[in-house]
Amino acid sequence: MVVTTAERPDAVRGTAVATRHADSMRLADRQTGPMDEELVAALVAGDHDALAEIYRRYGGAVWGVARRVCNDRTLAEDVTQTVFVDLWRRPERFDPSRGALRPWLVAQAHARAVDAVRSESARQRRHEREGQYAPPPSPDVEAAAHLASLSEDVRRAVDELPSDERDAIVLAYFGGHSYRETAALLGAPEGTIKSRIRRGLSVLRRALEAQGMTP
Amino acid sequence: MSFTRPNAGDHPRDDLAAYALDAVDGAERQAIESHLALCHSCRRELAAHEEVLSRMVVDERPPATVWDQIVAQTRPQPQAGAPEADQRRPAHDDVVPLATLESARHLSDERRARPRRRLAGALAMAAAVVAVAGIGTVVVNEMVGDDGGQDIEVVAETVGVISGDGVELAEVTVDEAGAAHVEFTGASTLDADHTYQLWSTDGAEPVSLGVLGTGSDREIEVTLPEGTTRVAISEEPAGGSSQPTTVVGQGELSLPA
Repeated sequence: MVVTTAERPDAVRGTAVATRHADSMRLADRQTGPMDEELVAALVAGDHDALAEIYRRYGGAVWGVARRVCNDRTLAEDVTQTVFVDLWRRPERFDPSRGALRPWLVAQAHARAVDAVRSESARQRRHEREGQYAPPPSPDVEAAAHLASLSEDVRRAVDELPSDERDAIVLAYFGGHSYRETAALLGAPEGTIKSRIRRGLSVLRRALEAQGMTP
Repeated sequence: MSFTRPNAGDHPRDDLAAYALDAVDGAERQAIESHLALCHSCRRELAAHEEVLSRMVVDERPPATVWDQIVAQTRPQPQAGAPEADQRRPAHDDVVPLATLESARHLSDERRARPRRRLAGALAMAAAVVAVAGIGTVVVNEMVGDDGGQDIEVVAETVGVISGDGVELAEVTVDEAGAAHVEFTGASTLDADHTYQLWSTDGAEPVSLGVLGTGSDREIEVTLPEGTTRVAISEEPAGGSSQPTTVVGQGELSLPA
């Protein structure tokens, strides 16, 4: 049978949440409906619709970072599930006074993805000894592949960075490499890699703020 | 120990930046976390780093099964018509969707559609509908399983063919989740010292889109930057190269310009 768009369920079934928070609701810059912190507060009260709405808003970001870091769909699926199941079980871990929900969820996903990749790479190294896997790409190839995935305006900002700062950030963040591994990959002292990461992040922050991208 | 301005040396700012990237392990990690527990300004700085890093993350559509699994773990009885995972594009106006997601809307009739992956559950259907919305010609086969639930077969679309010397080497496909793959159809398998590598050739200089292995894995998932129209496959020493060595095939993709 041909499925038509008419059969598509409504995009969001968060009506209960929206109504409950109607009094305190205010228009956010990029979305209408309950604020993120209101949704998290609803999670504490056990409101499953709030979880669905948070997933609708940020499932793509969590999946995006998990997939890029893990480079493996099954691992990325596990990471994405864990992030949202943990949010459901322990919503109080998110502190709205510290920052916004999207960066927090992305950081949660990144940490779990790195854990998954490090244990996965240990497994893979064992297989490599058995000759089952091709060797990993060289650092500049790996960095270039990650850079190619960035959205246009972020890539413009990243392109402004000196290449040594850019490579350190991209290899550590998307490649899931520790700063020690990154130092070895780039042939630079470990302390230098950490300074490059910090300088690069500061420059990026200013560039993104100049683009009006940081709320 | 040298005397410094008050607090000037107390904040491990370089370590904190590496920590924000989850690039610090073991005792160093614990030391930073102990400091963070006590230092408000470093917590603020960490949040600022996380904000910047999250801007580097491009939203992609997760497979529908992910939400199914979350529901299974957070609610014992999934309700019919439960909210669908990431059904529409993110509300952020600053997030550029992956080109492959856009491309699904630009597929034309003559392109081949074939079964790719079977997803179980009613939720999967909604996602598949989203994936094909606007195409209008893609048939989604629906079957009713024994348990009354729905199994559906979803499709991947061929969006380009990569050929060399008139021989098709590989196809580029986009699946129901918006993921792009290179599928080797006619390329020979290389020895272990060599690899195929995918390039975007739209710009003045070829841009690597990643190594594809020796061809023994028939299907490799790839990320196609938005607006990619011309790609090439080269043969490289194992590990890949920063510039193509021997281009063995080229092709055009029907992605949005």
